[in-house]
Amino acid sequence: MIEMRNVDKWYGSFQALKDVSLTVLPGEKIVLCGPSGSGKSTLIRCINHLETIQKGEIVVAGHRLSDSQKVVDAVRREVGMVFQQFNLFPHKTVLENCILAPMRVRKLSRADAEATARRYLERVRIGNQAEKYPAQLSGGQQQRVAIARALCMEPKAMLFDEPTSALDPEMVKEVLDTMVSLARDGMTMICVTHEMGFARQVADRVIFMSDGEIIEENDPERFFSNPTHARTRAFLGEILAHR
Amino acid sequence: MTLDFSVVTNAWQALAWGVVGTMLLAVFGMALAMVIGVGGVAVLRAQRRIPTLLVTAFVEVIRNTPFLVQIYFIFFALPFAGIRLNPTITAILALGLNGGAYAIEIIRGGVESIPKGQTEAGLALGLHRGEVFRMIVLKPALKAIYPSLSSQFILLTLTTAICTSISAYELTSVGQRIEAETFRSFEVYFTLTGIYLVISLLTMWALAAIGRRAFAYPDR
Repeated sequence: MIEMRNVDKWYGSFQALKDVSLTVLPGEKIVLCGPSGSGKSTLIRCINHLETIQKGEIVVAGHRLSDSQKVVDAVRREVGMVFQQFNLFPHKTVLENCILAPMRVRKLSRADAEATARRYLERVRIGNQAEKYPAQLSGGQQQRVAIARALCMEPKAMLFDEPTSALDPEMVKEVLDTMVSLARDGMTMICVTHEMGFARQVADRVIFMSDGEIIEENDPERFFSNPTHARTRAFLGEILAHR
Repeated sequence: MTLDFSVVTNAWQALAWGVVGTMLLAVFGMALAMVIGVGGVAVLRAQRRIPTLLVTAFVEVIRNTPFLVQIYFIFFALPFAGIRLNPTITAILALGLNGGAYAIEIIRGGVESIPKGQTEAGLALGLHRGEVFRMIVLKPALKAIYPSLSSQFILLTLTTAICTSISAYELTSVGQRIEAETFRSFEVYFTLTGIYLVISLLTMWALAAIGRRAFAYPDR
């Protein structure tokens, strides 16, 4: 589904990704974790070409990423993304947020786009807020709308960039529940998150990154109970200490 | 000094037409400025070298030369290049170009104030850069700078008075004519001052009403 081979990325002289290789099979759920600045967000942002890479290659659903607009369009058509800051469009209602891209990009009629949008809004349990504006919703509700908005494009895979980091604690669960149910339905997912409970519950693999490199990669059971790398142990010690 | 406002009241019809002329110049000038402002920012956002250079040069030339010279240039110099425009069209063009250059600067500030995440969300959904600008970034950007844009447009409305210099038909030129016939300078310009004040306040009110309607959505 998603394949990264020997990817290098620099910001000027700073190397953000070092020889990263990663294969994600259809239906797989990957959790990416690691200290801030370790390159996890950069990695998933390369997958839908929000960031460009300098070396290596990325193949998404059979499309080999390049600067060609056609390829980028094809890849973005297959991959949905959810951001830390929700990034809902403030001047559009929840429903309008959800139908914009399906109408412009997938060329759906308004009626079809609205039907799809209402279905996904129901699914993230926010169907009764369709006519509200983002600012009228809580953070958790906004993030669920953002998930529904991405799903309206019927993507084959979803990228989550720290989807619960900007939320008040009491709202984290509703977003995670939505993600868990999405995972149960077989969606291919790559999630940058520090929610280790979520990782244990749904991840097929947990990947630990540090300084732009993939340090360790394992199924959640072994990753948490028996991390092999010192840096992984230190990191897990840090984030699990307070729970 | 005895005041005689009958010279003004007797000419109320001419003054009323002057107000119409002024409003016409102002409204069309604002519309043109708006088009230039949004279009200019769209060009800048596309980040192509030559168009960016042209827009930047346009903004700098307009913002660093007097409006009076700009309007004289269009009216008196362009005919040598074979372009001859009547005073009203010239006035609208000059007001629109001048206001447009300032509008570009103001709107660009608004666009820069919109978080990058908005653009990224649009791109991630598969929209192209132009679509992201038009459908996602533009409206919140305009909302953010609408007060500054409004004051710029009030200024544009008052600048219509300078168009009297090429004998465009507007309030100040009507006033000048009445003054020339009656020599009642105080009464005439006192009246004009009052009328401009009312025009300005009404414009401000109208722009605020438009803003309230256009940007009715709640911000956080």
